[in-house]
Amino acid sequence: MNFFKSNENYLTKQVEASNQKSFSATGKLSTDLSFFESMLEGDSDVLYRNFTLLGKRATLIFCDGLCNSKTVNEIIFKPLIKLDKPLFSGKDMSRLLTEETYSGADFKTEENLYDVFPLLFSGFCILIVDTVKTAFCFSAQGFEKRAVDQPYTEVQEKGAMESFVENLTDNTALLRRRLKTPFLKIEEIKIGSSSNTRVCICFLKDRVKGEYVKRIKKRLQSVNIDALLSADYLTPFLDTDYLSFFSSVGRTERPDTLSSKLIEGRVGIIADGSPFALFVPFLFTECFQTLDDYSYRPYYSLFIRALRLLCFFISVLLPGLYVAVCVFHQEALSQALLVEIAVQENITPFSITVEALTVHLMYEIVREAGLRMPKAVGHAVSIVGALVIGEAAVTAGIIAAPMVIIVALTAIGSFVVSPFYESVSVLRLVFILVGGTAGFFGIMLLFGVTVINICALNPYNVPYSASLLPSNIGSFRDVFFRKGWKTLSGRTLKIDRMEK
Amino acid sequence: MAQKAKIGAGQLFSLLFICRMLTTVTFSPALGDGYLDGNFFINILFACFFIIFLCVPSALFAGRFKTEDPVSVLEEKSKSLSASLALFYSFVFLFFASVSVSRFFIFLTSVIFPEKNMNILLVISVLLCAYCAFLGIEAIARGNALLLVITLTGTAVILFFVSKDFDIYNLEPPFYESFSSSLKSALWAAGRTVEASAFLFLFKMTNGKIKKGFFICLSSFFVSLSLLFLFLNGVSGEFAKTQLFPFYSLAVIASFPFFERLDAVATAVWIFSILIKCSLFLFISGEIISHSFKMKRKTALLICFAVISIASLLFSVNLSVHRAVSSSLITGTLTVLSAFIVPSILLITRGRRREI
Repeated sequence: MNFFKSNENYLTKQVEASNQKSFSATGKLSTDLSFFESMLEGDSDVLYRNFTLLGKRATLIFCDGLCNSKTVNEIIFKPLIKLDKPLFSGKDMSRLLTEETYSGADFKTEENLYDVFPLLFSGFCILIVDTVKTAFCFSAQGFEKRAVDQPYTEVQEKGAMESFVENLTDNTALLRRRLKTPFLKIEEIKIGSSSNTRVCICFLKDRVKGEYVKRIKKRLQSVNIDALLSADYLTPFLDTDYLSFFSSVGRTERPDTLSSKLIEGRVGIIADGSPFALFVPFLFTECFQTLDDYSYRPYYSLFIRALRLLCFFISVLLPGLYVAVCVFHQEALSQALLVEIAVQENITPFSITVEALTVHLMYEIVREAGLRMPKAVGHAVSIVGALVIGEAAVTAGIIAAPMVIIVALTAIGSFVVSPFYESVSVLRLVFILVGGTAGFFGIMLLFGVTVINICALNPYNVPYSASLLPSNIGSFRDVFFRKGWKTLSGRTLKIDRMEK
Repeated sequence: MAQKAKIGAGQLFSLLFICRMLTTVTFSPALGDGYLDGNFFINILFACFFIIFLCVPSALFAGRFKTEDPVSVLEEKSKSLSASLALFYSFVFLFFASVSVSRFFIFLTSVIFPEKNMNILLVISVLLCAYCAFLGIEAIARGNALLLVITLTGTAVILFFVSKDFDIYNLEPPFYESFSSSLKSALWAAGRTVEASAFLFLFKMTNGKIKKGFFICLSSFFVSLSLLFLFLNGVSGEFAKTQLFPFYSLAVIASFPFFERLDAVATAVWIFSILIKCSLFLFISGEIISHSFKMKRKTALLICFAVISIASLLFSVNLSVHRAVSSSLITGTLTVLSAFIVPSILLITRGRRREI
C-alpha cells in the first residue's frame, strides 16, 4: 500500500514538475536546488558541485559528457573559487562574473529556471548562488561531435568536399565562411516541446522579400511536435502542396549548394542534429542542375543536363511504355526486336505487367536492404541481387532478360535525378499499371495530367515549373543550357522575379 | 466574374491554337467533315478571312468590356436573361468538348481497341480533364506550353518521316474542285472555330498584347494547316478521302528504323490536344455556371463532368449518331450564335462606354 502511495506521490511530483513551464529563481539556494533535483530526479549524468562563492553557498550544475571537463575546471570553476571581491547585489555578481572572472565567449543569465534546461543539455554549466535570483549559464561545450566530412549523398566532381554535420554551430560557420556578407541573416528558433531543437532560418536580407521570411517563420512557429530529430520533419510544414507527388522543399548536404540557393533569394533552414539543410522554394528544373555544371564548359553542361532530363523520362516512363508496347502496341516495334522480345517473354509464367511490377518491387527491396544492412554483410546483398535476381531468375525463365535490362536502366536513371527519387519510384509503378491496362493512351493521358499537376504548384507564389513554364528567352539561359559566366555573373537568377 | 489568375497573351493564343488544331487533325471525311479538298491552300486562306470576320464582334467586345464577359454584362440588365445566356454558353462549350471526346473514342474503339468496351476509360478520361480544369487556367496554360511543343514536334516528326512518300502528282491544280467548293470548305472550317467564343470568356484573364497574339495565332494556324494538308494530299492523294481519320493514316505510313509506324506519335498528339481542349472548355463552363448560379467551383465542375461524360457516351454510340451531332449545320450554327450574334447584340444594346 505504502509502495503504491509513494509511487503515486512520485508520479504526481513528476507530472506537476513537467507541467511547469515557468519557475522563477527564488534566491534561496535550497529551493532552487530542490527544483532542479525534482526535475532531474534519477539523472545520473547531471552533476552538482557545491561550494562557497564570496561567502555565499553556490552550486554548479552541469551534464557529464556534454561539458568539456578542462573548460569547467580551468575557465569556470577555478576562477570562481578564487574570487574574493565584495558582492553587493545580483547585478554586481553578474558584472563580476562576466567582466572579471569568466573568460569564455558565451554567457547567459536566466531568471526562469525552466529555461535553463535547454542550455544545461547543450553543454552549459549552470551556477546558482544563494540570495541571487538569477541563474548564470557558462558555455563549456565539449561533447563528441562528427568532424566536417565529405558529402555522401551529393557527390560533386569539381566542388568542395565539405558537408554539413549534426552540430548547428558548425553548420552556420560553414555557411558564414562562404557568404562573408553582413546581409546573411541567421535567425534562431526552437522547435519540439521535448527536444527544444535549435533551428536556424538563413537568408540574405538584400535578396529575399521580408514577407517570405515572415511566412516561413510563421509556418515553423506553428510546428507542434514533440521532438525534431531531423530537418526533414519540417518538410510537410514548409510544403505548400503536401499532397502533390513533387515537393517544393529542397534539401542539401552541401554548404556550397545552400549558399548558391540563398544567393538566388531562397530561404534556408538548418536544424541542430541534422546534417541536411532545407531550402524553399525548390523548383522542378533544379533537379537537373548541379554545382558541377557551373564548373564545366557550357557545351558540356548542355549535354549533361539533357542527359539528366532523358534519365528522368527513362526512369518514369520507360517501364510503362515497355509494358504498353508489349501488351497493346506490338506493331510499333520493328520485326526483329519484336521477335526477340516475344521469344523471351513467352517463356515467363507471368503477364508482362505483373512481371514489371514484381521486378521493380524486388529492386526496391534490394535497395532498401542495401541501405539498412550492416556493412559487413554488404557483399551478400550484391551477390543475391546480381546472381539470384539477375542471373538465376532469367535462366530459370521466371523473368525475361529484356525486363531486367529495362529495370536496370530505370534504376540507374533514377539515381541521376536523385532529388526526385521518391516521386519517380511511385510514379513509375503507376505508369506500369496504367500502361498494362490502357496502353499508350493511358500513359500519355497520365503524363499530360502529371505535367498539368506540376504546373499547378505555386510554392510561396513562385511557379514550381518556373524557368521552364511560364518560359521566356531570358529564363532559358540557365535551364537546359548554361550560358557562360560572363553572362550569368551579371544576371543571377532571382526568385522574387519569378513570382506570379 | 472576379478572376485572380492571369495568363499571358501568348499562353491564351497557344491554348486556342491547340484546340483549333485538334479539330483539324482529327477531321473525318467519312463523318461528313468537308475539309479535304485539292484546293486546300486557297480554302485555308479563305477560312482565315472568315475567321477574322467571325472574331470581329469578340474583339470589339473585348475592347469595350475589358473585365467582363457576355454573361456578366447581361447580368446588369436581367438576371434571368443572364442565367439563360450562361446556360447557352455552357451548353456550347460542353457540346464541343463532348464532340471532340466522342470523336477520340470512336477512333479508339474503331482503330486502337476494336474489341474493347471503352466507356469506363472515357469516363475516367473526362474525370482527369475535370481535375485539370479544377487546377485552374494557369496550370492548363502552362501545361499547354509543354504539350504544344510535344504536339508540334510529334506532328513535325510524322511529316518528316512521311515525306519520302510525297508525290507531287498527288496534288491537284488550284480550283480543280470549283470555287464554290472552296468557299464551302472555308465556311465549314470557320464554322468550327468555337475558340472565338472561348476568347470572350478568357480575354479578361489575360495580360499582354492580345492583338499581336491573335495575328500570330492566325498566321500559325494558316501555316500549320497548309503544311498538314500539303503532306496529306501529297502523300495520300485521293486515298485520304476513304480514311476515317486521314492524319492518323498518314502517321501509320510514316516509319523509321526501330519503328515501323508512327501512329503512336499521332495518338499522343491527339491525347494531349484532347486533354487541353476538354480541360479548357470544362474550366470555362465551370466558371460560367459557378458564377451565374452561385455554386462552388467543385460542384459546377462535377456537373460539367457528368454532362460531358453522358454526352460523349451518347455521341460515340455509332458513327451515324456522331455524324449527325457533329454536322456543319449544328456546329456552325452554335459557333456563329455564340461568337458572332450574341456579342454583336450585346455590343449594340449594352455597348455604351462605361464611366468609371
